[in-house]
Amino acid sequence: MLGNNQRVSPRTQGTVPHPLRSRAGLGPLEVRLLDILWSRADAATVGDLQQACPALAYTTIMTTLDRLYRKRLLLRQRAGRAFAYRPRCSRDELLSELVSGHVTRLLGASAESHVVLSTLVRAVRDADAALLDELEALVRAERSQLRGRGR
Amino acid sequence: MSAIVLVGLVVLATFGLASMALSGLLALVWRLAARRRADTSLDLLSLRLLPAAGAALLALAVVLPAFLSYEPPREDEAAGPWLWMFAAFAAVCLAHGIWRGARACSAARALLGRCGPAAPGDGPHGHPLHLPQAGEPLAAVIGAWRPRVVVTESVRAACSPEEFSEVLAHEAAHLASGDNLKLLLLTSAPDVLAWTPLGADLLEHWRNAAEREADQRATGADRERRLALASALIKVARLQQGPGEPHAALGMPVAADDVAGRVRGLLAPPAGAVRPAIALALAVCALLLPLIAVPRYALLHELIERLVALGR
Repeated sequence: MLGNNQRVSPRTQGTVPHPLRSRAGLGPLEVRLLDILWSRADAATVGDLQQACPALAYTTIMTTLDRLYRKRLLLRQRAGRAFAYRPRCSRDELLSELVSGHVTRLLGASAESHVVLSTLVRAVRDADAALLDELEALVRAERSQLRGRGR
Repeated sequence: MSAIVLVGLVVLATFGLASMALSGLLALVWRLAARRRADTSLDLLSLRLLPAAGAALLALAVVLPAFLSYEPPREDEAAGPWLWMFAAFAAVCLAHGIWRGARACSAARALLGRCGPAAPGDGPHGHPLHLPQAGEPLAAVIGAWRPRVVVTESVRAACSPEEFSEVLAHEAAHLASGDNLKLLLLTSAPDVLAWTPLGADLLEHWRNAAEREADQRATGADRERRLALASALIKVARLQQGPGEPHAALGMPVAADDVAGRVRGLLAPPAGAVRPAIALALAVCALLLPLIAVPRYALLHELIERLVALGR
């Protein structure tokens, strides 16, 4: 349950996290409910969230949470007859994932369009960890040889 | 048909024909010898640009002056269907080249836009450095006209300060040699090779040569620095492998063998400078061709007239 001190202030309600809205395409209400869930240590039911946002109808919150769940942003579990919701990841993780997704998509498109890009190492096709181990051992051996000469 | 339209058609048609002929010639030469002999990125760049640049040189510095010198001023000459067809083919090649270049620049701009603000002066030689938080491991120079260095936090976190410094030196080498501008030229070269596997093959060879040369320029003969860059390459390759699928989306995928080749190259003593023999030979040909053609303008004009009348 949310205590009075956990109620979302009008200022917080109006502070719409811009990166999330623009990058994830989330609506203001979705961002507001996500913010409340991130501020909580435990999962919250629709009733809990309605206490934090008394101006919102129960069904509005229920629909919005269901939408967030379908967008794979929330996890849910049964809590009696209702569902309790909690975020699938932290706010920072989500932002990082979104940026990463954009970069991946853009670079994915670039494979075809040859974006003007010179990368240090391009995507390694063969997941050859053994080869990389071998190379690392070579570098280590070369380093110790170099240090041995320096002494 | 007005004389100016005819001149335009002749230039375009010559460009189209020469571009096709040079592409065929390049395919043959590449298969027979050049694949093994083209060692430097400049050689590969000049080979890849040969069909378009050679055709442009032939059309503008040989055919155009020959045609203008010998063509009598008249307005009644009609062009045959073949001239129109070759000119249309050249126009399609040019338009598609421009479109590919514009698309590549636009993709680079979009990518930079997503990378967040740059830290001014933190990059190599005082260039702005972008350090996005994105999980994708990326150390790159992005953009052709105003290239920016982008290194994701995951790469910086994985590298030691010495290794990170070499990563920046490698990117600085790309900046200094204008590799992204060259890449833009290669991407937008208006010829038929752009639609063939040979075009992709040449581009891939050039990319690999440019990376090896950037490694060499970044580290010089300093063994400590070469080891630091080799170690950074391995770390970034490992990051790209990740726990699951390799990040095939990061540009064109390369085999792990290529990373191995670069690491082994850095561990070996630095090789001496290789002269770009093919590029030099082609440059000499480009300088001589317009001069050699001057005494043959009459013959050239005769050939052009036959082309204009072909199929009429």
